[in-house]
Amino acid sequence: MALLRIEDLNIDYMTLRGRLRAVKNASLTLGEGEWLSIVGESGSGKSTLAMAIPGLLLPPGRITSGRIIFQGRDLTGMSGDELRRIRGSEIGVVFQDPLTSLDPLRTIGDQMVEAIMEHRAAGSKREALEMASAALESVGIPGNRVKYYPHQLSGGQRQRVMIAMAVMLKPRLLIADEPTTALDVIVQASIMRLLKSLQRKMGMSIILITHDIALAAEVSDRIAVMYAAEIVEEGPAEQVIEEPLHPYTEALIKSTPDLWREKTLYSIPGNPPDLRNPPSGCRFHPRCHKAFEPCKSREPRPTRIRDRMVACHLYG
Amino acid sequence: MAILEVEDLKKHFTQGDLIDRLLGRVRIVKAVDGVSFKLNRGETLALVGESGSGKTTTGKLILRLLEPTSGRIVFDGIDITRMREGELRRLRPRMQMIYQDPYASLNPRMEVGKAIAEPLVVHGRASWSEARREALEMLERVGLTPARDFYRRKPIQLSGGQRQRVVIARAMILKPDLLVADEPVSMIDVSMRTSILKLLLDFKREYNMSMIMITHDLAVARLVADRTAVMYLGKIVEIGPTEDILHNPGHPYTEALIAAAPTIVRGARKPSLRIRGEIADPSRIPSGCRFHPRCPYSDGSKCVKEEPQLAGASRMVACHYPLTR
Repeated sequence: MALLRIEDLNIDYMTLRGRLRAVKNASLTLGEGEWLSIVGESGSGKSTLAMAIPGLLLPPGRITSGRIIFQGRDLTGMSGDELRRIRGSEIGVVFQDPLTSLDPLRTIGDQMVEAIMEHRAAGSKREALEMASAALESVGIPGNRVKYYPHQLSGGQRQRVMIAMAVMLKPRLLIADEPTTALDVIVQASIMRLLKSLQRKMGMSIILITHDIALAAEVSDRIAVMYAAEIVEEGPAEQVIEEPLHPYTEALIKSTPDLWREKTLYSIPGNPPDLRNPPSGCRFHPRCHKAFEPCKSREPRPTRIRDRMVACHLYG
Repeated sequence: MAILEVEDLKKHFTQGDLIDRLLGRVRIVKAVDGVSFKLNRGETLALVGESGSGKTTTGKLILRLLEPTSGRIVFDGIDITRMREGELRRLRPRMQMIYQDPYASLNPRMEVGKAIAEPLVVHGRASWSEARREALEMLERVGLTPARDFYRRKPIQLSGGQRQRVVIARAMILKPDLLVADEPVSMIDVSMRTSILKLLLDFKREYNMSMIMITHDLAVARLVADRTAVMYLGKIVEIGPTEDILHNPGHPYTEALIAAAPTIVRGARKPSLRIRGEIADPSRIPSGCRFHPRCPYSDGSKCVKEEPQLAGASRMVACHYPLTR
């Protein structure tokens, strides 16, 4: 059974210069224990889509239509209180910069205990503190570091603390929004290994948001590629990487510098479009080397090919 | 012929206020701790390492944006180590630097065209009207077209990649002999990185410019650099031709960096080496080989006591037990 089903989701930002559709007709399914990575460039809508799931859209962002079914319940109709209860206990969230989500003036133990007590997951503060230190151990940080302040930890350790906080109440889903973008490569690799082992041990599902398709390729069960507010391709990671269907996915892979492939200076021509004034037809057509007549005038519809989805006129 | 020679360059910062000083609690942060290399005309050298490796400080020292503690910097045959600002000013147009954050390196209130034209006027190379014409050509060159339209825009109206193009145009309009590029693509989407790097390579070829590419990303070094120097805690631990280093790393730290680089290639033959922990605090540099606390090959005695020196010819490694010989 699916843990999460997103159906025809549309998200708008109301700006002074008019309405901007940040996510357009997005549909996705995530199974229990599955790792889905949503890949795309800045402004593709990947973070907006992911943040909408646990109700963390920042105004002026607003879901205008569609449903987000999590464990059988529609999250889009829920109140702020209900969503707060679900966040942390059933859905954990990790952001790019741990410093912005940790209070510099309080120990990390204090902040973890508060979150545990808020969800009434422990009977006493002492029990909560024990839970917090066990959670730190589970991410490779000695349990006695509950007494530390955030500045006493390195960037990589702080991100581990954020992960500990996100998973300590054993959520079914972890959403990680560019969790390693601010970190060095060696630390990045260790954080990715940690997430992978937590996914396996806890049987938890993960949604990773990243602009780096190589990072996604190494850890994901499935990959969704977003371009200009739309999901243009989705499928099993191996197939998306080895035989991309959408020309954008193909170009994205080709343009990513990689130590284990032949050296190339290929880059995708042009720039991502302005979402206030997106191109007609297929939004990728001005940059697509395979574009033909219908691409300019008609929007491609999502096509299912076995276990995969692609939105491109090449596939009917 | 070398455009730049750096000899035993050091930058030590003292950390602590007056009270710390009185109490003798001052800590010395050895950000750069004895770096030597030569850069030939038209050559690109990558300085690769994690945050805290001293690569950015090295870049700033080379351009004398920071005062070196000791060592020697020779630019095009001229010793600039202790040169005064007045004299340096004449050399400045020949040595340019671009930074990681294109948002921070542009004046938010200035039209980007004017920002590109400004250095020509400041250095007395052109009048405003000539500078404007050259800036328009430059906008064209870096792919910000229609140039007349982009000239009038403010930085906030541009994407990160477009801003970095403006920053590059501003540095290139002076046709420098040496460019120090500090993580120029690390804040830019992976998919846009190659086009920015290609732009730098095109300018490099056209001006026969030399370049120092500071990056934490070996894949970036591979695309642009003839040679690569891997830095760890203020020192170069390995230096040599880039492809050679990538195929056959000599230092365990280099191997660890390669092992950590993500790839889309399934079954890529990555080294399996994984190292412990994070880079040490540069005010508490470990004894002996400064990498030993994280090194899986440390012998626990020589590595802890004796500091290995860079040894070799075209390829140099500072390790008691190099992976290659």
